[in-house]
Amino acid sequence: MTKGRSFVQQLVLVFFLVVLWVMLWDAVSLMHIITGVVLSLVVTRVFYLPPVVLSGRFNIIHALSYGLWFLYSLIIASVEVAWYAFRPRAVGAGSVIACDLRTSSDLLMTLVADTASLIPGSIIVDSDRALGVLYLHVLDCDSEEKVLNAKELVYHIEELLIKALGSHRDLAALKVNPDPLADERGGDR
Amino acid sequence: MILDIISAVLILLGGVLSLAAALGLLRFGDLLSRMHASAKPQILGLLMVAVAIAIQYPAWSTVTTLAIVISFQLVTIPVATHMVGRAGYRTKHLRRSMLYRDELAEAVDRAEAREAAWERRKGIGTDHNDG
Repeated sequence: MTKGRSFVQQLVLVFFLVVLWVMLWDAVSLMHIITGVVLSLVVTRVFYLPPVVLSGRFNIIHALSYGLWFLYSLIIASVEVAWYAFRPRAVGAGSVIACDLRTSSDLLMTLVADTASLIPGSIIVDSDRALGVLYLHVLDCDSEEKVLNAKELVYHIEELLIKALGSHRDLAALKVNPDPLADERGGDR
Repeated sequence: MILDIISAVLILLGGVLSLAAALGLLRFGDLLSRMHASAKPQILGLLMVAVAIAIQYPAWSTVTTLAIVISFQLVTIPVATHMVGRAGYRTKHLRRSMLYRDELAEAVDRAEAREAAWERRKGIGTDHNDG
């Protein structure tokens, strides 16, 4: 069963590489498709990557809402960072925050890290794959409130992604722990 | 006509965002803050310029090429900023005064303490055997 599954995943990979190749040549023709298939077979053989473990679940509505939310926050946060650059006052101190993710899948962790990186205001400094912790640097983050807001953003990204393509185990983890910041926010810090 | 105005506005906004990226690179205080400026506002800027080009040349060949440009940017920028940021953090090229809180340093301290305790325990064990 695992063999058949990895074969399908290889096929998907080759398919997308061929699509990319055809897009690069700007025209669909038999020659482009044939050279694309040959090249992508060579590429997937020579640069062998460990297969990505997919969860086998994909919710198109949640994926769409994730995409729209991503575009929206990209615009808001870009304007914000641009304003930091233009305003007369210098930018304040940043913070390195730790976010203990609820998911344990490599793919989801990568996607959360990518999204957090692309939305202005946060970059990934380091990650702990075994424990599922992301360390992010947040721009202009010099109060407890801003630290909490930044963490909330990361957990929100995670929630959206789990709903879109997380496994059932991730969904269960999300249900068990819907608000990982509850004790931090309630505490005296 | 209207399309021309829309694409002109988009290109102008994209240019302003790229200018913001350059200014931020000059003005922000330390390496990690500068990484934000170098990559971030410019993604939206590039997106706007690409949409403007697509409006001006609405052909499949242009749109697919622009889609490739943008998707490669989206995939590579996080990796590039992460690598520079991580290298900067690990080689201690950062200004402590520009950090309000550093939870990574706390985690590193904890891990080092754990490792030291383990080494000590192991050290005692081998000492006994060697003697």
